[in-house]
Amino acid sequence: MTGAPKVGVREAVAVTIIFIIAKLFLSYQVHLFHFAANAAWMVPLIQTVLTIGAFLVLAWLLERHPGKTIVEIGEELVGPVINTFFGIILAVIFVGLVGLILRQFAERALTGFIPDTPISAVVLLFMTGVVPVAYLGFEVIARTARVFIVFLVLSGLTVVVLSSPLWEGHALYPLWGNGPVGLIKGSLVASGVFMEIFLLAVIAPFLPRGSLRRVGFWSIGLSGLFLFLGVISVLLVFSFPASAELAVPFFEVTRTISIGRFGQRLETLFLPMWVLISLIKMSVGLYLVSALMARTLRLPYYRPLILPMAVLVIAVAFIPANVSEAINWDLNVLRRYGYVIVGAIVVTLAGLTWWRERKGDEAHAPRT
Amino acid sequence: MRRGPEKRALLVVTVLLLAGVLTGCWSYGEPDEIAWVQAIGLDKGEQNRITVTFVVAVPKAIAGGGGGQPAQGGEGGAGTFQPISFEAETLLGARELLNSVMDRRVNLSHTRWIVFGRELAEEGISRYLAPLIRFREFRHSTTVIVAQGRAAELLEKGQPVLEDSASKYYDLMARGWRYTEFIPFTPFHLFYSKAKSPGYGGGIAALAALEKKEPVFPNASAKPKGVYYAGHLPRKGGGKIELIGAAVFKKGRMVGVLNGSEVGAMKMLSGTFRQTVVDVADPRSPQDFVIVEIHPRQPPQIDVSLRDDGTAEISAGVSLEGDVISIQSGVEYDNPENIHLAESLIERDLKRKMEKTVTKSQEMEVDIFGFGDHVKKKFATWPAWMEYNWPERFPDAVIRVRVDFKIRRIGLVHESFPVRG
Repeated sequence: MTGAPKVGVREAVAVTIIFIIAKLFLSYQVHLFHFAANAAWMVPLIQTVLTIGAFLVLAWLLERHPGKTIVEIGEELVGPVINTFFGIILAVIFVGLVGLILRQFAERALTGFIPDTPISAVVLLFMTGVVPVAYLGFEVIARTARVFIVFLVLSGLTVVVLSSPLWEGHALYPLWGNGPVGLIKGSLVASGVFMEIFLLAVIAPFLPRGSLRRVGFWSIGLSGLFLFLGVISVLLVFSFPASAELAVPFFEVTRTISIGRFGQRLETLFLPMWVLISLIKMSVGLYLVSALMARTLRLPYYRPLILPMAVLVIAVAFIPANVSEAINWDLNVLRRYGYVIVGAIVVTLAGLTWWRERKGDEAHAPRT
Repeated sequence: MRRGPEKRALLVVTVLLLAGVLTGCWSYGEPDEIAWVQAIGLDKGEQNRITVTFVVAVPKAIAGGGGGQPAQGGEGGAGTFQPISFEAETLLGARELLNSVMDRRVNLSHTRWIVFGRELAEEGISRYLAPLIRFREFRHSTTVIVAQGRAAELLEKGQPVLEDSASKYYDLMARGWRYTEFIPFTPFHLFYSKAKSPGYGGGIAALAALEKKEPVFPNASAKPKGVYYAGHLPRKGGGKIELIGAAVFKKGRMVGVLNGSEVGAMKMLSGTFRQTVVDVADPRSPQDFVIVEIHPRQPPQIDVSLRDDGTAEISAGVSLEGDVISIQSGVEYDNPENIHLAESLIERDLKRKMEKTVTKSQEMEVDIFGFGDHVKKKFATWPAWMEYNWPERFPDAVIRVRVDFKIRRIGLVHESFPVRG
């Protein structure tokens, strides 16, 4: 690495939130409606609690190895061979994730705004913005996120508030949707939506000492709140089951707002929001996979890997034959099983740390 | 600030790449190269499955000829729009045909009305709704209307009188739901979500028609103002289009109509009512009317209980308030001691209208009020609610209406004296 970046708590929270919630601007909500019907708004709240639980394990692991990323911790605990395997698995999952997100953003740009533009041009233009930002490093990304999150949150809340005249409170009933079982199943199966919290496992050494838990709790809590607002506003406007039909529900909410003759066509507000959040998300994603690979391969710099990783991400983006396939791979395959794999690696490392500590304690315990 | 050679090279490459973007992209579209469709009409086809009518704006006629020339709208805004009809298999297929007629590229994103001809509406419109929700150019705020006759004729002859822009005309006509009880609130997104919702089992579209040339009533007996449907207003002059009443849909098929008063009752019970003027015959002087302007006081209170056999008992409470704007008889209803008499008079009249509308809706087997959305609160889960099958049970539901009306203001007259001169 080229000198350790320094990132403040607010910058870290901003970048993590954006990394997690950018999916609100894609088909994330539809996924939840299928599991929980009209109780889909509860899913982000349940997932927030579950993610805080998972984050506590990650935080415990990272705090036991101060100044190290998950890759270096793995190397210390399981050795270079297994750790290289772990590192490659993690990189593959996140390259897949970033590639599929890139494809979805590009497809949605075509569907909603620029139908005559070739998708290759959209993807390349996207990456033209993303690559230099990722190249400039995590500090730059985090500061950019810190500056723009104010605009993003205000714009998002404006859309939610302006849609309120269209809300129908009865859309929340029957209260338990597909029932508690469906709700819990949906929350567990779709928990991969918070998979991006893994970013903290790579940027932990850049954070101020002792601030990891603060960053994690604020990021997860606020992301959960924004995801909740993104789901409930769609549900209240379109009701179930019509809400489950929409491909980009939050975009449709902005298109439906109609306040007087001139308070319409608010996708002009949505568009900058959408482009900014997707560019920041992609930049973080590209940085994450490059940093992961660099550390796995014990390379001193991540920058030479940015272009190769960008090529891999673009290649993955073009694998699905169509947008439905891209959404299916993202939500039903990669996130559903990917977070189990990521979780298993973290739990394995945490378990080994705990076992070592216990062994160490026993070794140093006074004999009786 | 000094930049390293690496950063400088990156900056130059990025700027060069982005400079290429400035020359324009594939999807650019100049507003003056686009044919903006203002309204779409769909009828049963004569030479193909459907007849699709597009109303295309003529911007130069709206904006004026330049050089200080006035807009060519002139009388009735004629010339500011061009209606074009196609026989086609599908709506979007007709849009493609329109591109072969227009010099400008057709765009539907400013469409204000989608009008279904009555014959097609009665046959079923579900298959025409699905593409609209999916197609990027179609907006969910577009108003859904059913034409009493053919939509093509309505759109061809329905020229604006006060506006140069057909778009503004359509927009303002539809926005009448805010200040008259006779026009329902029917944006596409609401029509679509209610058509899909088991809490309704149907949808409502505004009813429109061209004015009738011949007299619509044979005699001069008193008729309450709300008994009319679009196309049956006894009038002369004004714009060609009448927008009053509603078309009721069940499973995507039009099954009946509501007149102006019934639309008002439906809006009061469903919570979309904003304001209206009610004139009630004065019991103390039957030739005279007490006229009040009424507003909602609070959203309707719907209480539901389920009997053992599953029958729903619904108590619908409507709270309204209003201002007396005329007492033709001169009876002192504005006196604090008599105000309650006027209040009960209005309450009885409104209750009767609402009960009549509820009965009609049960006969049509369509819950136009959305009572089902309150009934579903009695169920814990969605599968249980689906199993209850509200659309089947609605006709047997026991529905009681309560109206609570309060007079708040009495206009600009403190007390009235009889005419003696």
